[in-house]
Amino acid sequence: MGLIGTLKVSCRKASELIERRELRPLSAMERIGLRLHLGICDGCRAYEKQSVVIDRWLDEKRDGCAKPACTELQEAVLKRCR
Amino acid sequence: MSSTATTTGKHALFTGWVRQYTGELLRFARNRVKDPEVANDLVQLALVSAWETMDRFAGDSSPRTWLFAILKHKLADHYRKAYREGIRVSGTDALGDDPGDTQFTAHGHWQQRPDTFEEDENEKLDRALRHCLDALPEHWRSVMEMKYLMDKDSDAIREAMGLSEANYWQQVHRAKLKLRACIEGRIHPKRAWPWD
Repeated sequence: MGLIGTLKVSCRKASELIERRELRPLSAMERIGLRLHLGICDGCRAYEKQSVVIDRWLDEKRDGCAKPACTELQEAVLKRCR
Repeated sequence: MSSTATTTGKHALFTGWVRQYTGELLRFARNRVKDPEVANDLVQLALVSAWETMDRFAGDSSPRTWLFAILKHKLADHYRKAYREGIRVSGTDALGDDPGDTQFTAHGHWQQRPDTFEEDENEKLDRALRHCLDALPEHWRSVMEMKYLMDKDSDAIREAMGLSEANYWQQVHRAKLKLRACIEGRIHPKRAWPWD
């Protein structure tokens, strides 16, 4: 297998690398392979964006709480802590 | 100052905190566990433990930060247990099914090319994300939640969950594949994934 073969990355592999690079820096080969792949693959560029959207939402965008439940909980805690 | 006065002062202070922060704490917990009852219990546990250890609160952080730190500990304990339980229930295969087996061809190409989630579909996306997060198998959800709870400190997460490095990122990858397919299926139902 030549250099191109070594650098060739499938979509499945690319999506793995996109997740893994957050954990540890990729090797030079992996980085180049991923960059080349993303350069030619719409699907994996879309995956990359989806992954960022999911991350951002999990990180900061969640919200919403039912009011009466909050009040009930407050009372329960205050009753226990005297 | 008599000890009664100190206790009364302490209780007044704590009451103030409970009034001020319970809503936020509960919102935080509810968005991070599937069962609202469990979220209630965890917030209650956190507040009671704050009360019990209030003497140790030095005041060098804000009470809000301190209360959230305690709640995060309780959540982490919950995920650890839920993860172990999830693994126990799903059998010996700690990784579970690989959604990649259905989303990619044998050659590793996408079966169906991913679509970008549109920004103008925010509300739809929000609903889809909530639904799909709740639909994740328990051990994947726990791993994902731990990731954001512990600020993506992967070493700390792996240690807490007892995961190898390879295991950890494989689980994150699989959970992400599962989530993205589920969300896409709900946002673009005409392209629904047959396995969701």
